Amino acid sequence: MTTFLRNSLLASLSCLLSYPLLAAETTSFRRDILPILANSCVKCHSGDEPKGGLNLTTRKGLLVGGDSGPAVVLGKSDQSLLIKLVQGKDPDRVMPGQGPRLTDQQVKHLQRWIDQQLTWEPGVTIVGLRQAPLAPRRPTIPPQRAGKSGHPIDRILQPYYEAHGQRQFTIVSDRVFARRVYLDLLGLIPTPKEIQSFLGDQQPNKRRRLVEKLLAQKKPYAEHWLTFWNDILRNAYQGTGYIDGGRKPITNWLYQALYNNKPYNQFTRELLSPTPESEGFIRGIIWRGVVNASQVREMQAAQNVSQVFMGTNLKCASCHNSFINHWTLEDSYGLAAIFANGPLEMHRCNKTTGKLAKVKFLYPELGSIDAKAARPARLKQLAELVTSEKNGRFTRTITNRLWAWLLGRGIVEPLDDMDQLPWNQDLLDFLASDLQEHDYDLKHTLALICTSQAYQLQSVGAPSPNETTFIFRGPLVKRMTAEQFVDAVNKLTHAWPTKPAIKLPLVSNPELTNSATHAIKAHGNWIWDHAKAAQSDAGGSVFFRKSFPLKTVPARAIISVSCDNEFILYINGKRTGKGAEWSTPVTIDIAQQLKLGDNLIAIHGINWPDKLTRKGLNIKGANPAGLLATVALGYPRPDPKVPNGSKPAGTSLRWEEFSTDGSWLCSRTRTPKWFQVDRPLTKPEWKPATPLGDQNLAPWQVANRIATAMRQEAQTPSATDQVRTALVNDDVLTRALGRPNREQVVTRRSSHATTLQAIELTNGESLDTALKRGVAHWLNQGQDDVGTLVDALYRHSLNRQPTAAEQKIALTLIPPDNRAQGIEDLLWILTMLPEFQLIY
Amino acid sequence: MATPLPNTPAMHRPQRRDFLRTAGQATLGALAAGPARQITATDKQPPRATADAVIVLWMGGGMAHTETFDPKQYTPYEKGMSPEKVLSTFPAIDTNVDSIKISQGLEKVAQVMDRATLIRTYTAGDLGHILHSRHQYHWHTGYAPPLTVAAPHLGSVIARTLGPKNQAMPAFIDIGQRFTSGEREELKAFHTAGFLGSEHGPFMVPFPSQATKAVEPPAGMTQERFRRRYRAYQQLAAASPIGRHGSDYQRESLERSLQNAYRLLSSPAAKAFNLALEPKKTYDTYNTGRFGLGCLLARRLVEAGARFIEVTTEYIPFKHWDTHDNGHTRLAGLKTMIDAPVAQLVRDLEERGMLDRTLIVLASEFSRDMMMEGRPEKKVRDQVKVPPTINELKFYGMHRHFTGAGSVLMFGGGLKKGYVHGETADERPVTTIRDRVVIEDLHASIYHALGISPQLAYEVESRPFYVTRDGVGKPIQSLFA
Repeated sequence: MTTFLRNSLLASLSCLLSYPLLAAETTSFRRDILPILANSCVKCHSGDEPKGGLNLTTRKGLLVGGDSGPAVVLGKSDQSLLIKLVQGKDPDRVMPGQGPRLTDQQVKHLQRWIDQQLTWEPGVTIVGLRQAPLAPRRPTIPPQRAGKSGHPIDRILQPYYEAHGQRQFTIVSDRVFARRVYLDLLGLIPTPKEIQSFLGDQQPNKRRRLVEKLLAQKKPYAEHWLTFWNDILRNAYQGTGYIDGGRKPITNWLYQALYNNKPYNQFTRELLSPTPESEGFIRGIIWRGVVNASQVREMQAAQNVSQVFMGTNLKCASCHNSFINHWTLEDSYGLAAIFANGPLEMHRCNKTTGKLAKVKFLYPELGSIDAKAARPARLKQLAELVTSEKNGRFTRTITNRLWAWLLGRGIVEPLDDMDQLPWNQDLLDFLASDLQEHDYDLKHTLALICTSQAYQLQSVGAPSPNETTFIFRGPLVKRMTAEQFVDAVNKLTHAWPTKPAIKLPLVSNPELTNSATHAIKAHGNWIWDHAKAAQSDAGGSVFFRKSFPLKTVPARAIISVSCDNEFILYINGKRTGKGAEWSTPVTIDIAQQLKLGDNLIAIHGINWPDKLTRKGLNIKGANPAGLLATVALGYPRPDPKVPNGSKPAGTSLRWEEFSTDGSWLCSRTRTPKWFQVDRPLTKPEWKPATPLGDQNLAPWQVANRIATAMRQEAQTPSATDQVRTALVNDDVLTRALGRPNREQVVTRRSSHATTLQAIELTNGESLDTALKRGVAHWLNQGQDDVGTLVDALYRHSLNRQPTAAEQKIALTLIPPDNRAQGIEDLLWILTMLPEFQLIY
Repeated sequence: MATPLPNTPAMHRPQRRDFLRTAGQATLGALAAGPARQITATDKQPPRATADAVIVLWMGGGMAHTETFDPKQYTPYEKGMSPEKVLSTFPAIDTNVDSIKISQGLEKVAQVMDRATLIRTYTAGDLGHILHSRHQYHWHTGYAPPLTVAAPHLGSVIARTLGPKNQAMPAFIDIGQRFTSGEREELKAFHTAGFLGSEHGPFMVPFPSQATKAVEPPAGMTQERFRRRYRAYQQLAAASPIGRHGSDYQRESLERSLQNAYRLLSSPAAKAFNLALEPKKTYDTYNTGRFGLGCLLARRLVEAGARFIEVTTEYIPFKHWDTHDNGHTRLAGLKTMIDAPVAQLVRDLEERGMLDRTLIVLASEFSRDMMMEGRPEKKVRDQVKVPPTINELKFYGMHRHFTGAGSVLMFGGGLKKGYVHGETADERPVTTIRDRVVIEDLHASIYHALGISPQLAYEVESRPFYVTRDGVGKPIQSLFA
């Protein structure tokens, strides 16, 4: 018998809060009774003046009863008033008085519970589970008080301040404001020049204008907020699940959405009712093998959609009726079923209930979903319900997240439990309804918050973890995220990584892509080793080489290659790309592989059938063969009028182009190391290639495709830009500093300073390397005076001049005979200072 | 049938009475993200600790029980033999305990079997189609991914619950693991403290011979310069205007963490990381490569007060214990790699009087078999082709992933000596026939030895997270002396 039970236990995999062993016929206080009392009873029957004098928050309350006598007779459910009322036998007094009637199953549980002596968990007092109102609400904004800020946020908060006896307010200086707002909106420390220009601005509304200027910088904005959204949408460039195709990234879609500031309702609709580019979010993460019922893809989608967009937690209710909120197993499965491709079997604690999930939306007030509709139609309906104008929860959840990001703490906490009481309902409701009124423009909300006096107040220290009450007195001091910190270090030391982990997505800008007058022409010639190749070639490998000298290394070098049937591309001896479909030209940036002096493009062209590579051997007879490669080299053309960062990538470059033509050499013989730069070529194997015709030559006619692909690549942010930490993979340092592995939805990073982090910061290779590169940079500035150098380091790291005392300490650290070492140590110290690492 | 099981989860505990109350309040704890709150497990007294430190020796990749600690009939290689015939590809050898035989190649370990508790019936979880890293995740956290919250590593739970033994020494040190090969992301996913917070995460030492770098000032920096740099930091931190803002939790915690790191890097405890300080003879005994030196480092760290150490042979797909081919030949080498260092570790700790309070656990995510993928009652998709007859040596060995039984070798920490737990069949399937051990109970036993209840829980997202899955783990009392 024991063995049998052990085995049945083994079969029930992880259920975080399970009662897997209790059959449905038993009644558990916590599983069955507590949710009924919490959801259906204590809203009225609690507190100082419970309805009918009946307090249902304790066992005693039930036994003592209220105005109508005891609610229960111990051991005798048939004589208990509670049961009579919930059964609805007295039409004048049906309980619950508010909300839905109890199900037969719930009544049965209550009966059994009473019959079994009303077992109560010692010490438990039930607190009603608050459910926040769903509808949006536009609060009346109090009039501006004399001498007070007229900003709507401040007008709303004025009565709050008065109620909490707050009269003294300190608004931060321009310098502190600039540093704060640069870090909050773009994730970067401002340069001394940026600070100077802001301090020197004498025109009115300069803070508002700065906020607007920063938000207009599409690229830095997108790359900063990528961190926030990657965490929330658990989008990772590498991570669990990819190994078996159990996961799909949404980076391309997300980057573009942030770059173009996609309205938040549209953004959400595209995640819920996705295109192939954005479907990764609801697809979830599956490792290999059997998955617990509460973690199947549909359930993951239900959990994440409810958490991310509506700030509520279905994780408990994915296994059994929740006891941390009002959700039931049916609710979770109802939402999950919307994502299901077929029937979805319900499980309780990983054991089948024998029932199928019924499609049901969490908030029926907003509308319903047609269970009979096909999955795409259901998803579309879901997207409409979630983003419905009647769904105030949708806008409250996101504005609360943005407020927390900027001011360190949400108006509601925890951020993922929007049923909790906000510390100021009007503020929350105003931000939410304002977002809706402004077409779900998140940048509008950010600007609104950043221009308020509330945001500009002097920061206050983060509370100790043991504090339980909160009064808003100003933004909390925040700790930089891993990405902000490493970006700040890289900016200070000029140690930016050279390559993003991902191919940076195309930032769509139709105006440029389709422009007939675009700087990139993408003209070229098809070539092969004989003139008839476009009509008829017997097949085989042909090797092509093109050498070209460079006096300057270009910022961008875009190559587009099309070959019938296949090719392998080598740049300067290194295999760089391949393609097997001439209609999809392979278009990549090779700037990183180019160098001063002689460069070599070598292409192994293959026409099927090819005995050498054994490709396409089933092709019988002659067929067309051709190679078209077009290269565009982009050189910077500085334009001082366009601020760095706001320019669309690729527009300020001067382009030089060349293509396959008769100057390329070709050979039918694979000579050893034929693709190496310094390989001397011997005739007669190598001869000039034969041009076949221009890019529009039949049968290929690829002119438009090549031009579009190259122009799109040109607009893709290039690897030679400052590569932000959000765009590279995690490493020991960023992991230590709290970058999550994006296995779970993360809506707030830990700001806890740990010894393991500190060890990594003290002797880790990653930071050490950056600091050494920083030394090289700062020694190269031609600054002989150490005092001036210290001054510059302070201004670049802390955005202020050192005090005399600081100068003195710093100077003793930099001996004249070993300046490199001193600067390295000072750079380390500056980046370790709380003043550097905290956003204050 | 509705009889409650003996190990009903620890739900009904008075200590958790404030649960719903806290769920109803906005706690600021989440903001400052301090340590996850501990929910006291039971109203009983926690178990009495019989160990203070744990060393896990991890045989990543699937160590075949029949080729190591649970030998069956020796079936020597013959060209043309039927694979069904193959049971053990090595003969069994005697140990210093009459009733215990183990596999040839483990002669040194055989001589310390009188200090060992040997579990022969560890049964891996039913996770479906085999993915090593997923089973390793399950072994190390007790939960199967994906999960709704980030589960902590066994070492992190211990680090969080008991803290460091020596304040200058990281509580959880992981030796030998890199994240460079295939499945690295899956490996990263459980080499973490998860929701417990990175303070309790592993201190990673991938190369034992270079371990000292992990606790030294950056390359090329003298101790004197290191001290000067830190002193200047303190002065400049005090001089910074934000430093005079008054009390602030975050600023203080930043400064304190840096101070802790500075202390470790300049403390005598850091010497424990330096294998060069070890006598050459000892060094050579251990030096069978990275794993062997890892065992030596583990010994030095335990002596210096480390709480939890894991030394891995390192899991790399198709390498080391992940024998998809050449099983016999490769096992011979693998046994050489572990035999001397494991035995010496036991002897050294014993000689220092530390074995009684240090629990050594040598384990693997599952076992291997010639024929069976999964186990008799839960077969899974084959990952290795087995030919109808064996005509080449490379097909001779345990190449499939077997979850029906597996060996866990334990020493010290208050366990029995010279004791075998559980029994497996002598004929194929060589699976558990008596006293099955599952991960929840293995973990519960490790926790028990450390004085931690298997029903201990930590709060995450207003819910309890039990240190053994749902609190069901039960210590295997018969293992304890």
